[in-house]
Amino acid sequence: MSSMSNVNASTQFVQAGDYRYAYRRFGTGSTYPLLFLQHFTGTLDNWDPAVTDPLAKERDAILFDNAGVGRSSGKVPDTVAAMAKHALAFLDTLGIKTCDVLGYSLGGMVAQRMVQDRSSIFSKMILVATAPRGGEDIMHLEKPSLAAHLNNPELKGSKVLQKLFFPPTERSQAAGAAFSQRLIQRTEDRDPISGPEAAQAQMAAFREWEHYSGERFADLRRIRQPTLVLNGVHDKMTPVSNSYWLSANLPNAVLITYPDSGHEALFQLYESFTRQVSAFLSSASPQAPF
Amino acid sequence: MTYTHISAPTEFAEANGIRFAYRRFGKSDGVPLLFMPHYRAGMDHWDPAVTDRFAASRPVILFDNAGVADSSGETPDTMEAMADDAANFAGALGVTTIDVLGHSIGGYIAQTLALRHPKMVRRLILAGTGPRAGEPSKDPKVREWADSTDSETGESSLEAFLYLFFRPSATSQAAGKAFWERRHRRKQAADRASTPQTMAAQRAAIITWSKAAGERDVQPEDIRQPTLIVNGNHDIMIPTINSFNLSQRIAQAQLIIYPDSGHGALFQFAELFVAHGTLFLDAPDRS
Repeated sequence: MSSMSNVNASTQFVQAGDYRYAYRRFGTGSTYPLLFLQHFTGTLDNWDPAVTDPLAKERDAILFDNAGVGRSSGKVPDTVAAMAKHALAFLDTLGIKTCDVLGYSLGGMVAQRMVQDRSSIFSKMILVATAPRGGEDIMHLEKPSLAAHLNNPELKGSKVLQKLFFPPTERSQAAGAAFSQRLIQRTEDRDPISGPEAAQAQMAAFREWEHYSGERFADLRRIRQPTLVLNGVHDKMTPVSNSYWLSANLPNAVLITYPDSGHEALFQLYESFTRQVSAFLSSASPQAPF
Repeated sequence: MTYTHISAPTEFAEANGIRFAYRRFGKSDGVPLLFMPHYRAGMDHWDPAVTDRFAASRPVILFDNAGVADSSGETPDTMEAMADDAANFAGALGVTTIDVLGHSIGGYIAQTLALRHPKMVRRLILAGTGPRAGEPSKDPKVREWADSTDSETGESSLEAFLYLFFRPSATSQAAGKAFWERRHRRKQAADRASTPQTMAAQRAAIITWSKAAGERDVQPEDIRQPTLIVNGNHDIMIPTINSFNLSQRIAQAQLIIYPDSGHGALFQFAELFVAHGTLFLDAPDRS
């Protein structure tokens, strides 16, 4: 029986030209999958089963390690455009002409670039805690509010992520601890943790993504796909103003922001999040309002 | 029999010397949802596609605040007095707990009500509105259209609504005309147009609201109620940035912004808005 969970779905590999990409595919076996594109330094094992599994009940979920991440070969590219190229090559090799996408943080930027390069690739888009090209204050980990956690020697492993992602309120930190526990439910066939090289290249990609030429956000107006934009209102890594710009400039997007949550809103409020995303993906309406 | 937006009779309730006109319909049990409308608006300015859909899951109460349309008295010139009038009205109905949907100036009054009468208000829906001393409209034609009156009807015209509440796109304009058709379906006992006194008093209250708050005034940070904030992504009357601002300042606020829409997004996307609003009102309390 095929797996329905990121806790035990086996990692698969596909060769595309010179590259070998690692991925997991699980769910209903639908021909119309939902592609998950991951955040900064995240691997297949950073996808919260509380988010992936409910969504895989109605479709196939495909989790994907971009080049150089986890067990995918090659070097991590230092531009979003190059990451988009890898993701398109990966989908081509699987024979997927159109799918839906859930792009989170860096993954949301890659998704935007993919659909600009090939508008037919996505039917619907979910952009979570991310930013448009020309957005601002994208992943400046040197900011004191973020550097304090990264440089705290007392914080190890998932605790760093918990402090970075989740607001300091008691409720949010408890949600963060639960999230960390869910990520270690998977005990076998795990990806290696990303090293400093991957982090450096992805950081360079963020810096490049902050630059724009011509009219700011004009590129967004060509994205016709129904899009759901979601964020926590207290996101310190990709501030919520970036989501406001997406909402103001994408022609067919609904924006939802959540209280008492930040970059991790999808993991903290996973029940509400997966309910909203399911309703959006299941709708037959060509309008984003589902 | 079950009343709807179109069939519900106008009733009256007396409080503090004011005779309030109201209509109540929908489910008989549950926390009622009290509707607070936009500038100049009475009960007939609501969209049945919104009110009737909410009425499927809860009691709905539309009312004319003091001095507005069919209610007696004068319209006061502060949000505080309007909020107190609304609380008196609810008290006269014997209602102790309400949810409130405030649109535009109705959202200002709803915020004020939640702060001055916190035990009465369970949850808030704030549509096309903003905080005290928010970002003013940058559109030079808004004021003129908002105060314009169709000489035949004594009301705002369709053209005014299409300009103020909807976007110039074909889709949004079509939605505006559909809204206009729906809100005129009720033929019986339509309420009277609001008077120049109401317009002047509401205008004065809006001007006071637009100024920086003193420390005893309304601050969204003090609102404890779970709140749903909705707007269109291009509101030219109370710019959308005010919805962003509210969602960052009210501790328990969820924000939803709809595409290709403005001040009237709740009417343009009536079905989805009510789906979102009902989910929000019926969600269990977060502990």
